[in-house]
Amino acid sequence: MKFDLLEPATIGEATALLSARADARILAGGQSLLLMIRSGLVRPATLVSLNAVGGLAEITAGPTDGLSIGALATHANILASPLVRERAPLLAMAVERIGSTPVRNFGTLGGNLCHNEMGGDPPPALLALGAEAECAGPRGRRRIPLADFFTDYFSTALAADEILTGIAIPRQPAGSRALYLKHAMRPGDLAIVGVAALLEMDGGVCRRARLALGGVGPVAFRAYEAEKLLGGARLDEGAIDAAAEAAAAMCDPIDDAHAPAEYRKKMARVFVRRALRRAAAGEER
Amino acid sequence: MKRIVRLCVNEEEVELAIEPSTLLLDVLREQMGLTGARRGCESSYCGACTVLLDERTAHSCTLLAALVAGRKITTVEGLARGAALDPLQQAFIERNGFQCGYCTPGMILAARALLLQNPDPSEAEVRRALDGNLCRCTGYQKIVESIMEGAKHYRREKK
Amino acid sequence: MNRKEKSFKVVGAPVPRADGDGKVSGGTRYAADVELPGALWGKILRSPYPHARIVRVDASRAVRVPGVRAVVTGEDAKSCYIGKQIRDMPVLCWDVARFIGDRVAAVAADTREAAEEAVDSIDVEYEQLPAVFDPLEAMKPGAPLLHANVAAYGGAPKDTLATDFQNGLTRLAWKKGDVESGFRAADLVIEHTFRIPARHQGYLEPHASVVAIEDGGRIQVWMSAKNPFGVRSQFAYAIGVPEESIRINAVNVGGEFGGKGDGIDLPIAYLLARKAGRPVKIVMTYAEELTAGNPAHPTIVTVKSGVMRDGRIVARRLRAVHASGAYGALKSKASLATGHYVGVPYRVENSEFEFLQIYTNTVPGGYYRSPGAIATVFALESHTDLIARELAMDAAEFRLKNLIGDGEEDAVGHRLTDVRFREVFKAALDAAGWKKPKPARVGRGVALTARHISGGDTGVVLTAERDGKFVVLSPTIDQGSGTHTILRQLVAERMRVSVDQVTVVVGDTDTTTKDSGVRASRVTYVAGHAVVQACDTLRKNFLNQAARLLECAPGDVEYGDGKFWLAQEPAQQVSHNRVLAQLDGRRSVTVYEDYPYPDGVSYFCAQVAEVEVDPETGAVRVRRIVSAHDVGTIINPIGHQGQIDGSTVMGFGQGVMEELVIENGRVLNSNLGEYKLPSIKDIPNLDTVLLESAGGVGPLNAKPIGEFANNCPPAAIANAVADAVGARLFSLPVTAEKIYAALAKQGR
Repeated sequence: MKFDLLEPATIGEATALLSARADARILAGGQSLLLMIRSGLVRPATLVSLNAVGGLAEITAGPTDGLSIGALATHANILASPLVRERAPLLAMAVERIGSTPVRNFGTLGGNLCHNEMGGDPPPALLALGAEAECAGPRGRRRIPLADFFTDYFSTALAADEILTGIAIPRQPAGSRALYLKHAMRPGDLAIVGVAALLEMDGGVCRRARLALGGVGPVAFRAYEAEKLLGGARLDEGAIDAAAEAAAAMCDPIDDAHAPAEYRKKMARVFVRRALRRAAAGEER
Repeated sequence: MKRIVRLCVNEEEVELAIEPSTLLLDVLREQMGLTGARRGCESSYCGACTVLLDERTAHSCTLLAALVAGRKITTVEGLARGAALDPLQQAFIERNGFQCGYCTPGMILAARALLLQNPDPSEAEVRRALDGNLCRCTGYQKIVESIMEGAKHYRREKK
Repeated sequence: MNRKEKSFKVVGAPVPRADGDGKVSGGTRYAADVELPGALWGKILRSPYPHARIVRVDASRAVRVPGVRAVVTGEDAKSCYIGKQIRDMPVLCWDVARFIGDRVAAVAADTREAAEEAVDSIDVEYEQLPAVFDPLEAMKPGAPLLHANVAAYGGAPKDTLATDFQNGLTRLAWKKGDVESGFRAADLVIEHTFRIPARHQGYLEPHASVVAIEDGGRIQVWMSAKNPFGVRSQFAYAIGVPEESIRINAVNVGGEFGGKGDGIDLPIAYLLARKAGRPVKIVMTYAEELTAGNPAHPTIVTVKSGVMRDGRIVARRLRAVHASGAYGALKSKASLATGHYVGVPYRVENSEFEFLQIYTNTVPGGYYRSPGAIATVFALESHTDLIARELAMDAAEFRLKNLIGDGEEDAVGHRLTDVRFREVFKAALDAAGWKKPKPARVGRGVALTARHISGGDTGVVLTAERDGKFVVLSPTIDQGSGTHTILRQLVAERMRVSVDQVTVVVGDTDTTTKDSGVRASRVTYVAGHAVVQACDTLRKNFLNQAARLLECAPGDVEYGDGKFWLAQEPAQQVSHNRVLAQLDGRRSVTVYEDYPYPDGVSYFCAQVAEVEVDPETGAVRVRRIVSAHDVGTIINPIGHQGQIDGSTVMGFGQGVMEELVIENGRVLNSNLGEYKLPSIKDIPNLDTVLLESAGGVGPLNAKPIGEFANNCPPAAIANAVADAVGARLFSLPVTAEKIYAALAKQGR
C-alpha cells in the first residue's frame, strides 16, 4: 500500500488536484477506500483528503424545513443529530444499520454514497427521501437528483474531477410515514435487500408513495412502477401485493458471498410488502 | 515521501516520520512498540486493533496516521494508572472475560468508550457498542459480564 | 452448577488467571510482537492458479525494489517438503503449484510495503494444468492427478494409504459384525447424504513466524504454534538440520482451535534469513489465512442405517469423503482423528465406517477443534432425526432407545465404562423443556456427541523455591483455555499452599521436557497428571526430610501453612524453609511421561437448540442452546464455563453462518466481512447443565471440556428447523436462503 496524501484546504483546491492528477481519489472517512486499497482492488497514486476542508461535516436546517448534510458527516454524527431525527428519521433508521460502531464513528455519508457498494443502507433511504447530491467541480457546483447519482456497481455520476460535498433532503410532507427494513445475515452486514418506504397517507388511502430498494441490483433504485400503483390507492393486501410484485420485477441482482441473486429477488418482494404494510399501519420501527 | 507528524498517544506527544500511506496500527506497533493494538484482519471487521480516538472506538487498521495528528489517541497501554489497572481491566480478570487475549485490548477499549458516555448501559447497549469487536474464544458471555461489572466502578467514579 | 462440596481448597474455586494482567494491559507477547534488531518483513508469492506447472520464475525486477534484501524461489528449496507426518507439501513449489495460494516464491525487505511491492514484481510463467475440486470427481479414474506417487513421500502412513483411488490419500476404517446381513434383517433401511463446507478456525491472531540465525548457526524461532516440539521436528526435517540446532521460543498464541500446529512458513523465513543474513518475520494477512490457511475439510458424508420397527438400530454404514485439499501435510497421520467419536454414542451391532481423504486442487485442510466431528455429527444426528421421523417416533425417544449404557460396546468396538449418556441426555431435555408446548414456527432440535480423548507424552519440572513458592516449568502452551491456571491450582492443592504461591513458567524446546502439544482434549489429563506426579514426588522429598528433622517416620508428618509437624504432637514443628534448606537437589522434580490413550472412556454432551423460523424469508433465529455435559471434578469453574460458552458459540457459527465458499478452487470470501463469524449481537441464550460423575481420567477425576459443545449445534439447529417448519437441510450452514428454498420445494 503506497500513495501520496494531499490535504487541500478548500473544495476548489481539491477539485483542482483531481483535475491535475488522473490517478487521484478522494478520501473521506476511509472506511471503505482504505480496505479496497489494502486488498489491491484499487491502486490510486494519490489520495486527496477532505479532512482540512472546513464545514463539510455540518448538518444544517435547509431553507424550507429541509435538511443539508455535509459529505463528511459521519454516521455517528447523523445518529446523534436531533435535526435528522426530526426531519429525516428514515435516514437515521438506515444509518443505524450500517456496519459496526467504529465504522459508524468514522465512516461518512459522502464516502458511503460515493463508494456505492451493493447493499449499502443509506442509498435507499435517501432515494425515498427525494434527496439530491450537492457536487462541486472545476465547472462549478451542481445538484444531481440521487436517483441519477448511482450509475453502476461502485460507480456514480460524479465526473472524475468532481466532489460530493453534501446531501440536500427536502422537507417531508406532513403526515408522511417512513420505514427502512433490512434483511441481512448479521445486523451490520451489507443488505441482502434494504427497503425504504415513505408514504403520504390520507386515512387508508396512499396519496403518494416513494419506495426505494438496495441490494437487489447494480444500484439502489426508486421502484417507480410500484409507486405508480400505490399513488391514490387504498393500501389493502391486494394493492400492497401488486406493488411488491412491481418492485420485485425491477430488481436485477447478482450472486455474491452474502446471498444468491434469485433469493435476493424473492426477498425484495417480501420486504417491500412488509415495509408497506407496516408503514401503512403507522409503525416507524 | 516521509513527513513528520505529531501524535498524541496515551497523553504523550510524539513526533514521528511516517509515510503518508502509513496506517495508525503500523505506527503504534512498529514505531512506538504499542503492540497492545493487535494485528488481526486488517480490514476493520475483527476489532483486534481497536484504539480510542478522541474517546471513540476506532479501528487503527483503517485510519491513516497522518490524518489523526493532534487528536487524542488511547491504546490499551494507556489505561492503567501506574500499577493500578483500570476497573474494566480488573473486571475482565475477575470475570474471566478473556481466553487467548488477542481481542481483549480492543474489547476493553470499546467498552471504555461506551462507559465514558453511558456508565449505566443495558446488556443490549453493551452488545451494540461492541459490535465491531470479534472474539472467537469466549462466546462473549463473560465479556458482557465483565463489562457490566466494570460499569459499576465507572458509575461510582462518576458520582 | 452442582459441584459437591469436597475437601478441596483450591481445586474447584473460580481462581482468576495469572495471565490476566498481561492480557488486559497489552503486555502479552504474541509472535508478531517479537522485535529483533535488523529484522526484515517476509512476504510470500502465491499461485493464482489451482493447478499449474511453473515454467519460469523471474525475480530480476523484485530484487531491484528498494529495501529488498532477499528473494527465494522453489529453486532454493528443491525437493524440500514439510508435513506433520506425510511430507507431501513443498516448502516452495519448484515444478507444480497445486492450489490457489500455494507458495511459489518469497521476499524479505526492510518494510512490509517494500516486501509487498517486490512480491508483486516477481514474474512467474505458468502453464495451467487441468484441475479437480470436488473429492467425488477427484476419485474417478482419469481425474487430473495431483500426486504421482503418494507412497514415496517421506512419512507416508503406509497402513492407511488409499492409493486404490485416483487421488486417494488415506483411509481410516472400522468394522464390526456383518453389516450386510444387518441391513437384510432390518425392517427399514434408510440412506442420506450430507455436505459440509470448508470452514476456517477463526482465531483472530494470524499465523506469525519469526526466524533468526545466530552466528554459530543456531536457529531461533518464535511462532504462533500450539506444539513447539512438533513444529521443531517438521521444520528440522524440511531444511535438513538436526532438531537440536533449532530453538522454538515460547510466545503466546492468539487462539488456534486446531489450526496452529504447523510450521509451514518457517522454512521460508529461514531461507530468507539465511540469504539476507538478517532475522525475518512473516505475518500472514487475514486474506491469506482465509485462502491459504488450513481450514476444516469440505466433506461429503453418506450414512445408511438399518432399523427395526421398535426403534433399534441394527446396522450402519458411513462413508465420509474429505477433500484433503492439495496436501495431506497439515494433519497428523494424513487423516482426521474421527475414531474418537464416530462409534459413540449409539449401540450398533453391525457397522462399517470409512473416512477417505482425497487430494483436490483446493486449500489443504487441517485440524479444527475436534477434527471432523462437525461433519460426522451433523450427518449422523440429522440422519438420526430422519430415521425417528420415518419410524414416527419422538427424536429423543428414538435416541434413548439406542444409547449405550455402562459396560457396553460402542459401534467401533470400544467397551466403555462410567457411561452416563442417558442421564446427561435426559438432563438436557428437561432443561430445554423438550415436551413443553411451543409457539408456531418455533422448533426444538437435539444432537448428541461423545468422544474419546488422546494421551501422549508431556512433562514438567516442579521446583520449590527458597521463598516458599513453587515454580512449574511447563512445555504446555496455553492457547487460551486456562491450562496454566489449572496447573497452579493442582500444585496449590497438592502442596497445601495458596494459589498465589505457584507460578507457571512456559518453557521452550531448550528448557523443558518434550511434549506432543495441545490437542485432542488431552491437556488437563496429561499435563495435570504430570504436575500431580511431580507434586507427589516433591512432597515425599519434603516429608522424608521433615521426618528426619522431627525424628519420626515420614508417615507421621503432617504439613500445611508453611510448616511440618508431628501428627500426634502438633507442637513439634519444623518450618518449610528449614526443610527446604536441607533438600538440595531434591527440591526440583522432573517428570516426563507418555500417558496412554484412554480408550475405555468416552465423554458426552447433549445439546438442544430452540429456533424460530420466518417461513416467508427462511431466516432462522436461534433463541436458545442448552448444553448438558458429563463432568468430573471441575478444577476451575469459570474457566470451565468459558470453554462451554466459547465452543457452543463456535458451533453455532458453523451451524448458521460459516462457510469458506470455494468456486473452482478459489476462496471467494477472503475477508471477515464475507466469511462470517458470530458477533456479540448474534449470540443466542446459552444454558448449561453439568452432571458430575466418576470416570474422569484427569487428575482428581477431572474430565475434558474444550471440544464438546462445538460439535452438536449445527445438527441441533438443523433438526430444530425441521421441527419448526418441516424444512430439512442436507448441507451446512443452515442459512435463510436454503431454508427458503427447501420450503418452496415443499410447497410445490
